[in-house]
Amino acid sequence: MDPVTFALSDLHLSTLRAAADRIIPADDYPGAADAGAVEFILRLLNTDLRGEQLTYVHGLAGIEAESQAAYGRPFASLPAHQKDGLLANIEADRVQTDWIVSPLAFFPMLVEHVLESYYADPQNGGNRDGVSWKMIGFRAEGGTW
Amino acid sequence: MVNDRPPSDCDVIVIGAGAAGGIVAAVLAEAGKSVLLLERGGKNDPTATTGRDHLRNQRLSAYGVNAGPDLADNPRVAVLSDGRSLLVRPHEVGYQNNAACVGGGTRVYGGMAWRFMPQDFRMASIYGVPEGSSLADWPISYDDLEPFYERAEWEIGVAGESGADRFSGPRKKPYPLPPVASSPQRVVLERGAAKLGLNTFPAPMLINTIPYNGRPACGKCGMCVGFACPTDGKNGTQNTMIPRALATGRCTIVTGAMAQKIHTDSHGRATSVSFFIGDQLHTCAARAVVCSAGAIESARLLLNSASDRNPHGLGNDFDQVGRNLQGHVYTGALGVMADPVYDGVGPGVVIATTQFNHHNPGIVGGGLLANDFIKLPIIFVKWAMPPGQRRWGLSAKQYIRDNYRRTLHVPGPIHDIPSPDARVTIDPNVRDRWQIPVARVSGTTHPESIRTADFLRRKAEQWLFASGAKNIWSYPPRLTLSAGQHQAGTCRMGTDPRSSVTDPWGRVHGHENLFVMDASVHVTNGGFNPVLTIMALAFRSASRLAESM
Repeated sequence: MDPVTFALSDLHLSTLRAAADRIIPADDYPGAADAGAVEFILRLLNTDLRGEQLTYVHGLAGIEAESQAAYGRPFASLPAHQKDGLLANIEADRVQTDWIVSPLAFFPMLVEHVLESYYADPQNGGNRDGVSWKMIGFRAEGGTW
Repeated sequence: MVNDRPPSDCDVIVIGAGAAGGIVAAVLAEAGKSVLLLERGGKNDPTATTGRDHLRNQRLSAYGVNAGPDLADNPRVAVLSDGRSLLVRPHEVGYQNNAACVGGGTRVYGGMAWRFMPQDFRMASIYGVPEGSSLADWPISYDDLEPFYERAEWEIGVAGESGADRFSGPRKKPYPLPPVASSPQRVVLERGAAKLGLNTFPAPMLINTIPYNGRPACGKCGMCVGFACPTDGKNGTQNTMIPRALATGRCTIVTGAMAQKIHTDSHGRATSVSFFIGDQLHTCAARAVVCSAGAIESARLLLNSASDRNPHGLGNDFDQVGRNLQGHVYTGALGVMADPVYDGVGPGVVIATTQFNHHNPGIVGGGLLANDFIKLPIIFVKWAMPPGQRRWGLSAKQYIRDNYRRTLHVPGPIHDIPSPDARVTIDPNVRDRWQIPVARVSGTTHPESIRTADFLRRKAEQWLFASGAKNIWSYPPRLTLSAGQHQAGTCRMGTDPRSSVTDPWGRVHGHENLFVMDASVHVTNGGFNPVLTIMALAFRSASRLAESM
């Protein structure tokens, strides 16, 4: 492994946590951030997906820029419906600020990684305590709950 | 195991310890021959786990693989339909990976255990030859192979309901093991099949439904296909034939052994094989050499073993080695049932029909349909959500929660119509970690395959509808290269050296002691998972070789 570890700024960590929690929100089961989405993604960006480090930096910066442009506040501080609205715009490539990476290149990847973090095995850093598997009824050893 | 001092001489070198190689080594060793079994993959431990990573396994290789080959050491080049060449690693799209480990794909497969049908050996006679295709008859018949299907079923271990498949070829002996149990998926699909008049039955599986061959019954877990069995109840060559080969005392297996070249003399006789262990090159002399490295790697090795006598590669005087690369275009449909049909009982495949394998009006061939294995949750999310279903937000989370246990998937492999332009060649520029020129895969399946796939997906949709599924969907098949885990065809067997690579016993034309015994020899690949046919051919060809030595 590289001796230099890739890390996100505190601001971008909060952006990522907040975005993950809208991609898979909490209901009677945890949201993606609580289940370990950020840990999963950071691990991926430090190992198999080093090539996407800058995509994440620019993508998270883009989310922050959209939030500032629309509401003058950091993304994590917005109410849920405003976060959802911004993310939907980003998903549709309807952005108000200049993005360094294409929203269409960043957002689907972010969604995919959050889904992977939530539904794959806990050893990958997400799906803490196998919460998604309990939610849907999957047991690795077979049978159902 | 003598990885640091492998033998320098033996009767037969077998290259590749997979579905075929494991059988070949055992048949020869049990017949009294000394065998060197080379496997480029890792440790020979039949119970070795391949990990439990839902993102790095043989079914979903998002970021890596769990059954080899090593990601950095073994690149290939994939030529896209627009002519661009891509350097690809084993987990990347276009690589066409199967596995590289002791047992090969059989260590991690789902284990569907199909015999080909008699018609599968006579595709050209029955359907004619679509223009531009290389559809052809096999030089052998189902009857020639039947005794060896029986051997494979009994010696590896297959669970099935004998006589229940109305369309199958004749069998002399029943399956050794009882069929997999029914499940809610089978109940609903049987109801739909009855409405349509489809003959259905439990799919035959290479698993122990009861204890067999000294190993326990399948534990019915939720992580079968793509992983090594945690309880050793799934049958592969690593836990059946390879231990038998080693038990004779006449077979040496060397793992981490990358074959570099088959050396031949001025008469084309194979004399020895050079292979790397790490960066150390070794050579072993032999009376005969068998390539069992899989359709892509066996062809690559023959092409890379060119000599003065055979400047275009061994067996390749007529530019046939590497052509007719085929696999199975997969098709099928999904639907959502009103009530849950998931019981979590693995492996999950419980019902199949071969009603559409042949004699479909206006269609060349056809294929089988069966319900799918238990899907890992992340696989469900990636591959089993309906088109147009939002993938993020609360409604997406609720969709997944509500429908994981309600979704039915009926997929099936079609009988690929081969193209001579779907092929393996040697890349002129790229070399692997050992400086061996890599395989370049190019071309597509023949367009007729797409017609068959489209036909079969409609049948899958109809079956789901008749079974009560709501919101049924499927995807139109696309013209791509078909190879992957069911790769076959690159050294097809035949009686004419101008249009084939091996004779009906796997002997490479023009080389009296060089053989191919793996799916490379398949003329066509059936509308079925090919592994039982690979195994039967290995029993047949290896028995013949043992008798002749």
